[in-house]
Amino acid sequence: MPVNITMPALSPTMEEGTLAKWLVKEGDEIKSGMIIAEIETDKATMEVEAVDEGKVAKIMVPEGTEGVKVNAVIAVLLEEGESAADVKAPAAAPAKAEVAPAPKPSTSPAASSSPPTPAKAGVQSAVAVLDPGLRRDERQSGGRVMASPLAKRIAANKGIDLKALKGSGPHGRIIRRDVEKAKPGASQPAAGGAAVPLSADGLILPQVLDDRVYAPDTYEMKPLDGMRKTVAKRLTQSFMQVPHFPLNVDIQLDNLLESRAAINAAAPKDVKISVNDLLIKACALALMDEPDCNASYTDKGIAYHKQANISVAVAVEGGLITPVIFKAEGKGLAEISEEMKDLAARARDRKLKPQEYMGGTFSISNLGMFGIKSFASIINPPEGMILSVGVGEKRPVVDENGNVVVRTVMTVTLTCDHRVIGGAEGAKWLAAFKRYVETPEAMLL
Amino acid sequence: MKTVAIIGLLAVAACAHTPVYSAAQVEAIMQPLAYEQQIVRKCDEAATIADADNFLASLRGDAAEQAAEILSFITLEVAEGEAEYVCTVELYYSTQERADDARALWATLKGNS
Repeated sequence: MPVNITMPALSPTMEEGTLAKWLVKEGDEIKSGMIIAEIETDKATMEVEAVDEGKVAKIMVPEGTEGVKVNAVIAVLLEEGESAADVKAPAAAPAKAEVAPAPKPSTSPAASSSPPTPAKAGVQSAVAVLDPGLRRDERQSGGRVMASPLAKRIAANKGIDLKALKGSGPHGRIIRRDVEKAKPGASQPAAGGAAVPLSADGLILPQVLDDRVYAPDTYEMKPLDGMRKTVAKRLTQSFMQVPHFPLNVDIQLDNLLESRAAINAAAPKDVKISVNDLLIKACALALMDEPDCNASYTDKGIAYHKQANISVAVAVEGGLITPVIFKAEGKGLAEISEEMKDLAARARDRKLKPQEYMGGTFSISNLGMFGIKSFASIINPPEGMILSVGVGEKRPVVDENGNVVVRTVMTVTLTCDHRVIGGAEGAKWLAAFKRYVETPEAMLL
Repeated sequence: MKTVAIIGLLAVAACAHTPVYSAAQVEAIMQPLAYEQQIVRKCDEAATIADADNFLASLRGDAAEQAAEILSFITLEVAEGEAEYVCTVELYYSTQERADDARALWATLKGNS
């Protein structure tokens, strides 16, 4: 009996797609596992793999056809001993007209004694859709590995090379029990030879470079050290789990620069206040003015911190670390400056103690010295906000009298955790910070 | 006539051995078994694990209707879920654990009947 090859569903919600390309023609003999067509949706192009073997009797839907309904017959396959005469008339009917649409989602239990069959179940008996994210890694010398989604996930977690396994499922498909029986010794080396571990929390999936895309001799692989792993893990967690939103504002620096010059001129020789020291102090005071912003989200509630512990991002070789100026609101500029110099030096030597880079309530990251105009940092959990400071540069500004004047201006971006900080709170904090920077005398009050 | 009577007696006898489950017990058994069946079908082997169907077949009346509704709902729920999120290792193994618990409960209730 001829086998209908039907339009597969690329996702449970897909109703139709484009048959982009046929990779076989009528009369071709096909075998299980052969890629026979490519189909497209608005999200992806995927390959269609034959599950059955036989001869292509008729292609029902020409390539390039758009709007082909899921489950529509796109081709008919003859099995051994069958001829074209066995292809019955209904199979040759227009694809769109003969196929029922995929089942619609339902929000309530259906009162039926026989559970409906998922749309994919029937489709998968005729063709299989290849996951484009996996197919590159799973092909080997023109062959390919067929495995269930679950088997692929388990193999990835255990670091098992699917190519080393023999599948016990239909048509040699690798299924869960095959992977569970496999010894971890069959691990798949990453490009460059280093095994790629999966983080314990499962947030960072193994990343490998496909040898056929990035030849191993075209790059140098440096193993991850503890700091790089920690930075990768924490920032991935933060970016995935914390709802970030940025606010930015331009701030004039002329008064601050004048004040800094005056302070340094009057200070003892070993004291030299930097712009960053002044910004740390301004951040701390603004947090005291707007205490709703000095906050951390927790499962038990929002923790409002009573002191301004300012984490300052320091780039070090192989990563980033954020030493903390504790209780910065109560410290003088000279004290902040001295402490910051000591912390930054020890950070670069990786000699900070954990208590010196943990416990911050707010972060500041300054890339102005690299000429960066503006940027938005990733929040350093559990802190609620981080300030990104751009370069101070001469810009034309319209003053209060309507005249265009040249001022030194920097753009700062405040990234907020929307679970604890609203737009209005963030804006108030930025206004307070701007006031301190543009009127630095206020920091002395 | 005699044949009908024998079949009727057999049916009554079969019904007499059918445990009577409360709605809570039906849910406690059917839900995990249905998830196990549908997740395995979607994510691993196309072959259906039969326990959910067997449990359903062992029920009568309201309990059967309730179990069928649960199975139907879960079938749709799993079918329309993105494989990326449904076919996770963690979900699979936790589903297995709950299904094992459900099987143990089912066995206990059968033993008590």
